[in-house]
Amino acid sequence: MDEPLDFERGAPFINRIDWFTAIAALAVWFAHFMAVWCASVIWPDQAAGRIVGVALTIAAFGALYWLRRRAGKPPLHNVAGLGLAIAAVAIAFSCVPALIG
Amino acid sequence: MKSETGFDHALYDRFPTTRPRPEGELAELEQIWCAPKGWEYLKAVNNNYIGFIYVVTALCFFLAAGILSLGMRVQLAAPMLDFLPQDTYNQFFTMHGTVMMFLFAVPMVEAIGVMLLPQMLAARDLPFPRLSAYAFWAYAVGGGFFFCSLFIGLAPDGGWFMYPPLTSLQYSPGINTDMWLLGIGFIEISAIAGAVEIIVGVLRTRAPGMTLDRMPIFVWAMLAFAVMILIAFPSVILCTLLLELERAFNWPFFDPTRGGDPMLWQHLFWFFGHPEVYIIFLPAAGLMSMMVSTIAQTPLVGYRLNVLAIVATAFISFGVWAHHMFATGMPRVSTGYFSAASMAVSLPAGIQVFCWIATLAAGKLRWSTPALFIVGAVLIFTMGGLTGVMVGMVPFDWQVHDTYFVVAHFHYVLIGGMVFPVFGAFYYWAGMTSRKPLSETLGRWTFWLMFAGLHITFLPMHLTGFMGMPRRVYTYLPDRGLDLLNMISTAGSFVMAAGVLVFLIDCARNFRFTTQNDAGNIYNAGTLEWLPTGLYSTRSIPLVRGRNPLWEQPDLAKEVEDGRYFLPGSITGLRETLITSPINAEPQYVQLMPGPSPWPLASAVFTAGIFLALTVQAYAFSAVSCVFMLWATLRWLWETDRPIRLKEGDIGGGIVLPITITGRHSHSWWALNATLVVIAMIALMALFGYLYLYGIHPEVWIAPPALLQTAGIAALLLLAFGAAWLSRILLARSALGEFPGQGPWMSAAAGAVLVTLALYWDVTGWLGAGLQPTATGQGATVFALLAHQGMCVVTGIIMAAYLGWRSGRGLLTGPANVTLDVVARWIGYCAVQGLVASLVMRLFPGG
Repeated sequence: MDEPLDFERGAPFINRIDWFTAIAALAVWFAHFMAVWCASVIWPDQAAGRIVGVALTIAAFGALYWLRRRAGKPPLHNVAGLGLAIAAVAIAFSCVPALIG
Repeated sequence: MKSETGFDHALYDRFPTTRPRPEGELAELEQIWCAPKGWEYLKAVNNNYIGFIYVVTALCFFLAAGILSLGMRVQLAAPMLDFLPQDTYNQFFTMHGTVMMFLFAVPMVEAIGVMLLPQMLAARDLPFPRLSAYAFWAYAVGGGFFFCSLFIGLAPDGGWFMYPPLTSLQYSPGINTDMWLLGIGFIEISAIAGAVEIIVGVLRTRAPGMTLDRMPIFVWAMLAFAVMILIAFPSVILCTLLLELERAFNWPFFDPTRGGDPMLWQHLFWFFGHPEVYIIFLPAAGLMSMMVSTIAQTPLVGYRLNVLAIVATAFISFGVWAHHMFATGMPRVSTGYFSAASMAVSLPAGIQVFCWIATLAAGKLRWSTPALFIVGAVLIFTMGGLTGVMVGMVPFDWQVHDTYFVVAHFHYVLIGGMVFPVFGAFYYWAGMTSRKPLSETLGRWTFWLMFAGLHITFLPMHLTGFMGMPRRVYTYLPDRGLDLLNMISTAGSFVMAAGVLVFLIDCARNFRFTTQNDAGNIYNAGTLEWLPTGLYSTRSIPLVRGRNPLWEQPDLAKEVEDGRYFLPGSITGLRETLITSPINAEPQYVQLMPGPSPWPLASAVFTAGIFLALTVQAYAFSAVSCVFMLWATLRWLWETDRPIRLKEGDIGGGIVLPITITGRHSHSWWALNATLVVIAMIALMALFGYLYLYGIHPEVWIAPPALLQTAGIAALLLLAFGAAWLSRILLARSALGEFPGQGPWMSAAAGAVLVTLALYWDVTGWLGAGLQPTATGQGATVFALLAHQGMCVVTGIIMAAYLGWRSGRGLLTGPANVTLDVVARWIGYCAVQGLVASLVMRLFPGG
């Protein structure tokens, strides 16, 4: 069989920190999404809803930063790194409506 | 590798064993696992039979729904045709969507899972074979009756997502809508039963050494699929029950004149409905990943990325439900959030597509029928995905909402994302269950006819949608530029049907079901399902050392067949399988498996009776069915928790493991947890409904009962929790096999009594405060939550009585017992659920 590609090598797959980080990053996205949606429903089309949305986004990025540090700044091709990247892009996407209304 | 359970990995070096196996061991295994004959087949629970008949049944529903679509296309072939009357057309499109989504797509992937997973994991069977049988029979009986409603003009006609107020009693007075609400609610029970089975099967019955890192991608996808079912399906069960309560008892959940809101239905339905698309897609993508690797004859590129993409898709799919509601006037910023999430979900889907393309590019592709279906599926799914990104943009969605553009979009997604991979899988895995493989020539005809038919049918629909043709109309006026495009779509649908017909001819000519003399591994795949198997699965359960064991260990098949690995015979003379740890798959204990039984079938039939009787409001018949259902279920359970004399046994290589354990390391613990997630999700979604209606209509809210009463209810529920917990402690004090007296049972029963008292106090308290379920949205949601709690409490009482019966017969022995574990934890859960629901309803927001 062919040798596995680079990103298939490395640390054992069941690296609890990697998987915890990836899942936690996606959970942060989900929590952020639900929270900003609730804010937009509680303050429909009002500045308060958007300000809370931006604040929650900053908090979510803070949580991702903390997860990244905790995981030892994993590279993008690592499970933890990719999980953090997907979550970060999704959170950034979610912030756009709060910024531009 | 670090041990997860304390199991010494050096013991793996003993395999493959070298000592000759005792004579007669294989014959005994065959005898233990032999299938019933003749009519007794109805009692079969083995995955080889249940999985296969499950797949065939789902395929029959696919054909039936496909025939309905042909009828619709004939009606729309030219303007102002009278082929189908308007009412019948409404029933056709409703049944087409409903059957495809609920009776074909989800059951088909679940069926493929039941059929393939035990072999892929090298387990003897899934851990609860009777639950698989129940899931199948509930689905087949319920689905069959549901579909037959079409022949008597009682089929639902409100569209597959059944929006109120169209489906309220005022606008849909017949029982057509009830047929959908109760029928679908019932069929979802089957899906959930299958999901519980799959989660426990995947996490606890993998072959030793098959760490999560070595698990086939399809197994990962099935795990995500099953978890998503547990999270998403309770929402649709809840909303169907709420609408049925509104229709039958006038509880105004969706009536805005009394504090309800029809948008609540849309939120609840789509919280299930959009993840449903990924529930269907992910397992099909798992099948694709398996087939891509084999047809390219190289390991899947980006295995871990693919797994992460599956997990990420599962997460993000729960944040996109309201993109179906862009045209309902939601706050602008809210629509923006859902639009953003809808685009974000394309990231992990894109990762999977790139992994497949990279694998095909990295290997040596052989253009077999599965290969054609895979490449076709990638192309079609990508096209559907691109139009999905388009309708994910709010302004664009407003333009094409409820037009044929949307019809074209989701058919591209669902056919590319599910139907083509499944047809590819039929050709790929046919050799596992048939004496002869399916024909390559006919397979190519099938593919090209389906591929061409799909584009001829659905590509023009993008244009008819742009031109403003709304979906769900039974006819249209001539000379609006729609005539030719509709005629082309109709012609295309028949081309596609011809492809399916060729597939059926192929099956009739070549497919011959077998459990032993199958055609085998004709595509040279590397995963365990291609090991030689009988009804007992593999002769011995192999030690897995890689992701493609058959490629990496060329002698594995022979060694497994010679009994050189785990559990080469039966230790107890009964059906058994090996339970392994959830992460590293280290051997933990031997599980006894139940054999053939008529009770799952009986239970499913009577469960169907309950729901069908409710449809026509025959409450007495429904109650009688309920009694018989309980009787059948308890008979089924009675046989499963039996004390056995042998406490441990040699699983091969001199490794001795316990036989059947209880507590948090047991598979039954996991199954109950999965079930409790479903119950909790129903309660959580009902609480969402309560808060949502308060947000919309706070003016109808009344003050809750006095705080002192709330404190009293909370105290009772805490006591109930303590009593349930105490029952486990009392049993744990007795020695192995010793009967501890009636203390443990009495303690559990006391817990059941206390939660009942708390519920009674809660209900009477609200009634005393002047709240009526028929008066306002608050009343309806409060009493719906209490009714849900009531169902759980009644179940707890029945369980406590059953436990008492077993205790009276001396079957409750220490220091731990599966039945007591389940009953105590159920009652404990009821107490926690009652506490949370009561506190939320009484303290927030009414307080």
